Amino acid sequence: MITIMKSGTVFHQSLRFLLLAITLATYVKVPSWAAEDTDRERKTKPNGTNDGQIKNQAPSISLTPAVVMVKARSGQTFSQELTLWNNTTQKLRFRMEARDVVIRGGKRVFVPAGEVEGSIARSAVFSDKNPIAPPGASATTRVTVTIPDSPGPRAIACIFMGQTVMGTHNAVAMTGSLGTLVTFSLADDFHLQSQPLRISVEDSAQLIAFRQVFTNIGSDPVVPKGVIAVTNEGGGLVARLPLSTQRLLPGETMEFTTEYPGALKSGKYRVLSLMENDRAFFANSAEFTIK
Amino acid sequence: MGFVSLVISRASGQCLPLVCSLTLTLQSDASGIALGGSGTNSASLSFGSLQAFSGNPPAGVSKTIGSTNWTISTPFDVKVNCQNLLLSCSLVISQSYTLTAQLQVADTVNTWRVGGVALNSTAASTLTSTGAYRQATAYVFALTIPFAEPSGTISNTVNLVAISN
Repeated sequence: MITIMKSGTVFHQSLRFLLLAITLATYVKVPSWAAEDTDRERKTKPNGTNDGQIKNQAPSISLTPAVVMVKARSGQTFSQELTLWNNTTQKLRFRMEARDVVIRGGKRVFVPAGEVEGSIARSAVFSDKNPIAPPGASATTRVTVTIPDSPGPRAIACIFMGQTVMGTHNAVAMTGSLGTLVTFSLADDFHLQSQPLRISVEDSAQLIAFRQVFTNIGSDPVVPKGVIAVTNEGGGLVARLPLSTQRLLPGETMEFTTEYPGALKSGKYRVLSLMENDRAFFANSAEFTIK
Repeated sequence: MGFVSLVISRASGQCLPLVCSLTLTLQSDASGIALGGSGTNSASLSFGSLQAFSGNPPAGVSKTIGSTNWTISTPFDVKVNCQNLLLSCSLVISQSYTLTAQLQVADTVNTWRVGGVALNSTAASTLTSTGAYRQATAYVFALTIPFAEPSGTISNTVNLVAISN
């Protein structure tokens, strides 16, 4: 099996095994969601949200979950409970709002439902559109989304819009709101385009920084996980450095970085950036010399 | 008489990796005006009565006089955290967050800015797309008022929305 990684580059099966060996050592396999977890409420409850703890904690609001990644197909229905914890002494009112997440000018923009072609947010239905969270307690709503035939965006934000404001007479009021990001993988179309791997060696700090910029040119979101492998002239592995994990929505560009904290011996070195996302593999390489 | 069974396909039966619990706190900045309701998700900035060419603003508030307008500004802090959950499907895959701001009511006379970004009521403006968790980040709230505006009360609501990346 051969996977296209970057324009003009082919990733071979032998490299794939190397990547698997490196990544499996770094990441834990995700078990499947087999059965209903009877202890789920306790596990999903954020720290410091017990009634008795409110007075001792910095007042805040918390939303569980923060991100949900869904694999589905057009026409399928997805449903998820969203819980807002009120860690304040005030009753808080919210209005539920779903927005499509699109990339414009390289940045994420949260567009009101129905304003983009193939809007997924438009189909979002909340079991409770106006949840109220009492002090020290939570409010839960369930969002149900049906993926349209030709979906445009690949992510939506389900937002608990804060409606409780302090007095606004002679004052500027601010409300805080939290949103759950829901991403949709619909076609298993994972394609990354990479820019040349950049290496900067700081002599004084004895630090070597590796920077790899990726652009998601596929139609599905990717969360590439991977490592930087540094080998010496003899091919021996000198360092294995995990790259920061970031989510890339279609059209999005981000820089993945890692640092080697120390000095390497003089000589030529080869760097391989090896990334993986749900059976898709990406690689890039460069060379550098330490004098 | 037969019956019809309706089958709706669902995106289920698979691991849904739930990342973390997102927490938001609005709080006073050490060099800004004290927020009413500081430390909650709803806070207020009370500037009292101010005039462009006389009087001093309250502690923590700056006043700048321009050629056609004047601006009052003060910093406040936003802190967002992403606490890991204990679910079996949890993965740590959110390294940062996006923070947006939007005015609740349209204002065509005055200019409202947070963190240097002009706000409006029609669309959310992005204050940061790479917000770092666990850090109280200071944003400067600024209101620019034209000299031509008659004296009166100015009030509005700024809605801050945090979403994990």
